[in-house]
Amino acid sequence: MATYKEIRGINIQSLEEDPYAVEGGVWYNSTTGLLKVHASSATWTTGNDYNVGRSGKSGGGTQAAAWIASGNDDPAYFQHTEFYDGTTWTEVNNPGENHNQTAGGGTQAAAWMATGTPGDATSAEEFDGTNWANSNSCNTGNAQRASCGPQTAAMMIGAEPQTVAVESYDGTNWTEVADYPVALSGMESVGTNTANITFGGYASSSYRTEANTYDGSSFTAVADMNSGTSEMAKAGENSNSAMKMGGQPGTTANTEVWDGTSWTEVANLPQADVQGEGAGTTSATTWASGKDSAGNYPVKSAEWTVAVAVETVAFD
Amino acid sequence: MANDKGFFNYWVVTNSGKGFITYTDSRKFWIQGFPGNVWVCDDIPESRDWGARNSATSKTKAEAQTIVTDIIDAAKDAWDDDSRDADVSPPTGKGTKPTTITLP
Repeated sequence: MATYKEIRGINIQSLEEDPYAVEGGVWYNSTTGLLKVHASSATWTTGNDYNVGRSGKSGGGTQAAAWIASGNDDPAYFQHTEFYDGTTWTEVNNPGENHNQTAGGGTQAAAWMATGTPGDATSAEEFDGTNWANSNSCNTGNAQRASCGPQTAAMMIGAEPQTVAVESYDGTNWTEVADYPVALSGMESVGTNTANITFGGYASSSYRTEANTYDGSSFTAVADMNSGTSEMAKAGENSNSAMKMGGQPGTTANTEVWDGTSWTEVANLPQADVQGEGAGTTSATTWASGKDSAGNYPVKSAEWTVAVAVETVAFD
Repeated sequence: MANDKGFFNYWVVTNSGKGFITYTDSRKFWIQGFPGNVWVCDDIPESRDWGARNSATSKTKAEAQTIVTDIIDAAKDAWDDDSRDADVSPPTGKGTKPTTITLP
């Protein structure tokens, strides 16, 4: 068997106190007499309540600078826009349209939102950090369109009723650019209009596991998720880094992370949820609840954080 | 992802927001919320400390299951009485029927 020195090129250090955190670092703490390691650890923590409980909202931003807007609590529709600063949710100016199950993305300072119900609207709006203003309409007006990208490079995929329609936004115009491989609703997407991953969805009483990456011209099938899911929350950076949280069927707390190669089931959301909203990356995410298992609309939020922490190596 | 230890504590307590479940809590024990403010976690000293810190009310598994089942059954009845389309999400339709939850 290879020794630690043969593998790492150094012996395990004996230190009087724990060193600066570097993932994978191993040392012997001579003060406590314990073998220690810096290990990556990912967990959910609860966040403060947001203000208006609803599902079917849009959102975006980062863990410490997230936004949500629109949605419904059956039967009411909400325009409310809220900002999260890492601690508190605050209501800011509302969009002009009163829609549910909108598509959206971008940051607190440059967000976009489009389509949704009622009326299968094709209207779209942009947010400049202070106010929402109408922008050019999109082509396909439906609910539950998967969405990704910033205000100048956005994309919407699929819809309810199920469709293969895909359209891209360059900051001025929406253009139909491709067909998704399957007509689905309730998918989610992470990335931009030239590099994204779209996953999950629903059609014909089937909750789908498939995921497809987009390279700016066509979709390519990649590894399936572990569980077929629709109407989930999402977060992530690009086509190699995505996260899905909760969703249908059965209103689940299941959470999975995509690393560019495979989907891995990680720690569940604190509570089962459908049509929640996520913001941030796969290592620092904020989640705002949608509808719970009993059909209620809680105002809960949570944070997912991947951090390097000191662990003691236990010997049986 | 649930654990596979098989020994759990059952609590009723309202999620109070930041600090209710901390990074340290999540690293030390599995915890999951259910309808009715029911929380289930690994039965270890740290999770009992969590319950005490949040002034949670301890329940037996049967008591906790009854709370959850009553809420889900009421939601199922409401769904059955709703004439909207089940294949369309609210508020246009009624969406999918709530499903039975069996606590671990």
